[in-house]
Amino acid sequence: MKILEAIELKKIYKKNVAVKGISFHLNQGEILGFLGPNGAGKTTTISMIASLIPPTKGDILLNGKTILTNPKPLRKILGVVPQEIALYPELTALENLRFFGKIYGLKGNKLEKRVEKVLEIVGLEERAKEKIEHYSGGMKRRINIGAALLHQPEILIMDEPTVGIDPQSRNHILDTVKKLAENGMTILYTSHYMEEVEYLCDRIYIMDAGAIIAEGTKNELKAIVSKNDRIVMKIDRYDKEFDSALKSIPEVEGVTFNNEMFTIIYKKGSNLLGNIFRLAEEYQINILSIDVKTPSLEDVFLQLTGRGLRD
Amino acid sequence: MGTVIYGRILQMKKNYKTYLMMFILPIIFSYVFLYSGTDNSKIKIPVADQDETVLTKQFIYEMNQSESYKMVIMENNEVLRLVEEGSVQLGIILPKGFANQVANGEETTIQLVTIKDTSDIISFQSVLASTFQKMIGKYQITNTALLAFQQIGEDINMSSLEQRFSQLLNEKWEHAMPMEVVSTILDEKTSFEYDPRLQTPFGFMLFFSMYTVIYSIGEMLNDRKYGIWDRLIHSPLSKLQIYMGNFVYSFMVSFIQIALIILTGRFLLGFNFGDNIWIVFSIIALYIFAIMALGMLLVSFVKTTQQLQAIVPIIAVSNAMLGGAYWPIEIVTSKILLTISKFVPITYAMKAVKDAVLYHQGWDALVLPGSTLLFIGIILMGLGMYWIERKVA
Ligand SMILES: Nc1ncnc2c1ncn2[C@@H]1O[C@H](COP(=O)(O)OP(=O)(O)OP(=O)(O)O)[C@@H](O)[C@H]1O
Ligand SMILES: [Mg+2]
Repeated sequence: MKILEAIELKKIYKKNVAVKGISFHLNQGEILGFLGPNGAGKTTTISMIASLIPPTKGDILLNGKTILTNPKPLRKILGVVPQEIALYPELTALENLRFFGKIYGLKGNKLEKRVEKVLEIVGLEERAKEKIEHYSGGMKRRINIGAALLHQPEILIMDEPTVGIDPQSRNHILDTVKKLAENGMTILYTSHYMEEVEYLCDRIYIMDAGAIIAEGTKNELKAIVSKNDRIVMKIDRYDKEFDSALKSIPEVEGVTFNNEMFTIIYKKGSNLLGNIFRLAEEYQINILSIDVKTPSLEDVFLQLTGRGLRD
Repeated sequence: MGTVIYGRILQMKKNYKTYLMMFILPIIFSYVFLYSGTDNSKIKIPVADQDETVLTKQFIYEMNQSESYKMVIMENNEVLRLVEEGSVQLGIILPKGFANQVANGEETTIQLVTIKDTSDIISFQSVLASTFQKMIGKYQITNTALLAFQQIGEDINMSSLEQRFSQLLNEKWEHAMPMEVVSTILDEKTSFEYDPRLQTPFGFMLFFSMYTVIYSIGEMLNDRKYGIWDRLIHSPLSKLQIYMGNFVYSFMVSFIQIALIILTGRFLLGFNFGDNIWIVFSIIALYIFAIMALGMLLVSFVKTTQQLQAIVPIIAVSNAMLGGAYWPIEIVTSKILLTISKFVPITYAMKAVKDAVLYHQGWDALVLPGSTLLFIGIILMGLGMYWIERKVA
């Protein structure tokens, strides 16, 4: 059942078009993934849903009713985890949570209970009395999420909640998200980390340059690239002309270079290896390792845009 | 609304030392300027009494009762010397025959010695005139009473009676007719009363509070920086509630700051803030509103609190100079400056408080300056809100 729906949503800033008229929906109880590189328009889209900025065009419906003229029904049931930490640095975690609970009309005993519960969810009961500014990056992220959970929102929007943190905190957050969904929360999760979206999400929209370029379940998306194979190759030095030469091979669908590694997506069944070795010799490049793999979601993006998610 | 204020108070508790300074320093500075330099801040006036009668002594005594001046008796040439070398702005000479002239109802003159024509003279003259009239009043009562005794024909020692009588009158007079002096001044439309005991603390508190009001309103910029603002906006709180919370907080802090200055002055230092302190508080409230609106306008222009902190001192100092917080606006003669001062909230707050406290106009003092402050406030607030909201979209 559609709980939230965006129709032809568009946002134009003075110079650039941040979101180019996208339509999508959020089903009750699912974890929906928004996958896209920097500047794809994820945050802009979320800001429009959260009525922080008005769309230039289009509509957003909650259970079929527009929220643009009356955002209040959505605001009551919406939790937003912003991309940047949004907490009072001089206050303790406890004080921050109390404050954000009060915003949603919680008070007294009920407020204290919820604060306790949220601290438990994010696993910071022990450090609750410390100032946020003394927290580590991961702990800040966790309280940042906690601040959106106090009023037990039906819909939770998370904007890249794991950016820039250690693996432990990251795993903790991912597990938290899973648990929240199991308890019936509807979640919109944005990220440019492939693995996260692959691990968490039931359905995925892939965004690039303000547009949705693909949508579907994990498997549906992978089917897009199932006609393809992928080669990952390590070389001793990068050469621009070698890169262009690879791209100009007819069977090649996409090429990226990252961490001294080329990733090449190409039509299944075509014999590419011979071509690659020949080009390497021509440009005097040493291949240190080469691997043929089955495609991942990242390759979907690579194939659709010809670029990597995190170039 | 309450939640926004709650959040601010939480932050305030963390920075309680800053706030403590914010509340205490202005109190000290508002009054310290008054006490520095001369004793009791009274302006010393050298006076040569050539007549040396009961009446002239009486006159000097009465002059010393004024809040602004202290008479120092000396020789004639001493007075002239001090004025000439510029150590004092002015001196007076009470000529021989002064008492006689007064007794016979003839025109009397008091010689004013000065080399510059400053505004101080005007205010001194008005004090001189009112004191003189007050004294004449007493003198005539004494004389009438003595005449009555004489006519009844009692056998009394006239000179000792006269002394005793005027002595008693001096003691009782203050209690009986405390308003006499000021009412005479009111009639003299051309003069103004400069009272440093009001001007200095009041000017300074209006000046200090500009910082408090604008910085406290500027906390909204910090909310924006930390992303708290967005959390507030997408919560069920309405924009009105969020803004009102900020306004009420800013108002509270600023009002407490000023109220502390006034109450300290009134009850610990014995300052006179007029017959009705609520009038003064009302002026302050309207003034804070106007400055808050100015703060909103500034907040709409700048992006960060740092930028705000760079602008506020410029605004506050120029406002204080133009609006007569540092010196009485009455001494400003430049047409341009006077015109600019019409747009400065401090001008109206100073005017209202002077009308209320010095000229005892009561609530009437509030009507015109008060409504002007309100008007300025509404206009600036409207503009500020409009620009802030436009910036977001
Ligand atoms: N206030 C603004 N004014 C002008 N342009 C903006 C504004 N906010 C965002 N943009 C532009 O809109 C585009 C989309 O930005 P957005 O922040 O939505 O991307 P994103 O997908 O969230 O990226 P990231 O992964 O880096 O967070 C970018 O090109 C950005 O420069
Ligand atoms: Mg973003």
